[in-house]
Amino acid sequence: MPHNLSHEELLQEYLKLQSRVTRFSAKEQELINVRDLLDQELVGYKRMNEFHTAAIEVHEVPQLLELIAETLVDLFEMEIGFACFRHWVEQDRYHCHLEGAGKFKGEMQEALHRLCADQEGVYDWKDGLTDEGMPLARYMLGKKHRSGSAVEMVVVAGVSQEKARTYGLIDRRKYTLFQLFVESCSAHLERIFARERIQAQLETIRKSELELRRLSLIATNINSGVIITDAKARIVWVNDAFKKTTGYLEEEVIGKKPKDFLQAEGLNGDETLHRLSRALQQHENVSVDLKNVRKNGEVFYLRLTISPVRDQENQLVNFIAIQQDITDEKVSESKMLKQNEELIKINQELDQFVYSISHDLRAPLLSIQGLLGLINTQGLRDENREYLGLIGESTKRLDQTILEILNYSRNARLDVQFESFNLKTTMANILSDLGSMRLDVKTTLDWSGEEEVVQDEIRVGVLLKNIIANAIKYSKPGGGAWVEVRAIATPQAMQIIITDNGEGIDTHHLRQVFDMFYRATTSSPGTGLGLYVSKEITEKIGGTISIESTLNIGTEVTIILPQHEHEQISID
Amino acid sequence: MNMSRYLLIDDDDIIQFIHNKVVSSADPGAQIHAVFSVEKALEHLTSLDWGALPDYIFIDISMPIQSGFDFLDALKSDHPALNAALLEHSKVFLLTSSVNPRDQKKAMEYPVIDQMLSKPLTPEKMKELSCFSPETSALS
Repeated sequence: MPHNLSHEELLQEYLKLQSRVTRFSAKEQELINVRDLLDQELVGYKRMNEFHTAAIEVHEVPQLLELIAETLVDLFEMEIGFACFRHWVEQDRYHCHLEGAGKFKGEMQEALHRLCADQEGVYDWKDGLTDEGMPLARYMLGKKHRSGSAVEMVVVAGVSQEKARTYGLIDRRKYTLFQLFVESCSAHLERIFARERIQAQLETIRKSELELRRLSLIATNINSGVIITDAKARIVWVNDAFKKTTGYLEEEVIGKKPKDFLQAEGLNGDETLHRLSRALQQHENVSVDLKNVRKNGEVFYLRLTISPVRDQENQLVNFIAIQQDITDEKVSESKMLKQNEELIKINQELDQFVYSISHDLRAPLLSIQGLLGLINTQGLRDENREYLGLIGESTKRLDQTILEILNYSRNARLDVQFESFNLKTTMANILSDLGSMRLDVKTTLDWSGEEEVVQDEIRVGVLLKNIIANAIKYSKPGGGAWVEVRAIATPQAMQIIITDNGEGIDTHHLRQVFDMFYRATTSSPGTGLGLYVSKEITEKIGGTISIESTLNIGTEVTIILPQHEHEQISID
Repeated sequence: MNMSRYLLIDDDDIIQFIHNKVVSSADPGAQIHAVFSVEKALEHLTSLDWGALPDYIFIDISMPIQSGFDFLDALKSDHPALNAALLEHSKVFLLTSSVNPRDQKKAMEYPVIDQMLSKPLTPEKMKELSCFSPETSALS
């Protein structure tokens, strides 16, 4: 600085300097102010971050709204904070929270609602409203509705007329922060709703999982076979009962159509199959009784119930087929039918039996009466001796009939009793008994193999006696008649062949000789029961009987009987 | 006196014997022919001139091989002329040892049958029968 400056000059310089200092300190103050503002803004962002941290822990809408309203008061240093949301679809879902309005709370809330409803704008920053009872000097309004969401969020922060003077103006910076804040609030609300939706879905899934688990438990453990197929009727799942019933393993059937391996040609009626395939084509419920084939070729009966399963769009996704094994039912049904047929046959036979028996029992009695009548009208004369002889013959015939009825009845009613006995001895006794009746018939016995057999001794005796008696009875008179018995016995079975050279039987009667009361001859009196009872006995002790004969040449009867264990079989 | 001709059809020889005795004692001039089967009866009847047909025929219902009804059916289907002649000339009786209502009804379907009788024939029954044929006065 030059030292030759005048006082005037110095003063001027001083004043210049003074004004510069003043300018600098003003700038300094400006800078301090900016720094304070920036600090304030930083605090705002920090607080917003705090809000964010707190909000993330909130999962309920009312709590979130409360937090928002509080934050408005804390963060933006406004007098009141108001937050509400509306659900456009669920009208009943509406919540709001007002913070800091004090005694004006009721009026304020009403006014704010109107504000929320009226204002179309997304964000607003206004001077106070003029409405009465709306003492807001200034407010910030933020409305947020995200596209694709049914939820609208409204946030309002303001200061009342009364206290406006002690609050600073809402400036641009504060307002920017407010916009960010509303965005953040809206995001949190969306998050809560999304969470609710997810939880609802999770609950549905959990429930359906539970139901599915229960259902699959039933499907797995049920006694009936269960098949689940896709929409094209290809198997996707089978249960244990299916595997057990059909004998197939899961890997053998997955992807196959049930009809391709469970059906066999001609097993089921066309009508049934048509009904089944039509129901499948038209996606209808159907229930049919079917015959199916197990893996081992065995046929079984089942009642098949098929239900189509549709998804929410009503598209066919599965068929569920339940196969109930009704083999036992069918077997007992056919058994019952068979028993019914037998019963009918028995009834018919019984009817014929009673009639024939009454006839056959009465015939000799009537002869006796007739003969006695003759004796009565004629008095006792020599020829009456002949009548008495005939009476004797009639009573013998009656006796024979009664004996055969007894044989029949015994065979039908008595239990079969298998025991060991000497068949050869039995046979020899029968031959000697019967042979003594007709000395002109020569009888021979040719035996090979076992002599001790296990059979029903009484029945075998009656059977052989019947057949051999027939052979002797129908022998030819006049000498040369013979009856030959050939027997072969093994530990398993015995074969007895009785051959004679008697009158024989005409071929066209041969088929009927085993029928009840069938008589193929008029040459000798008979009951028509002998061969019938013989056949009945043979069948009862598990054997077979057959006859071959030529008229006037002779007859050959072949009896085959099994050897039995020592046991008693109860016949009902 | 006109001699009556009888045909007895029965498989039971004792019954035949009794009937023979009863008929011949009731009608001493009777000409009796006895056969033991339907086959023999048809054989006999077809061999006769129609003038020599029996006046009375007794048929047993229950016989082996062919029954009394088989006899009537055979007459109707195989020998219609003979059947007509018998209807005209003869009295035909069905004999049975036990009267079955079904048989009774069935018998009525054959016009040739005069009556169903229960076995055995007795002199009393023969007397009742004679009222159907007054010309056989031998019985009265």
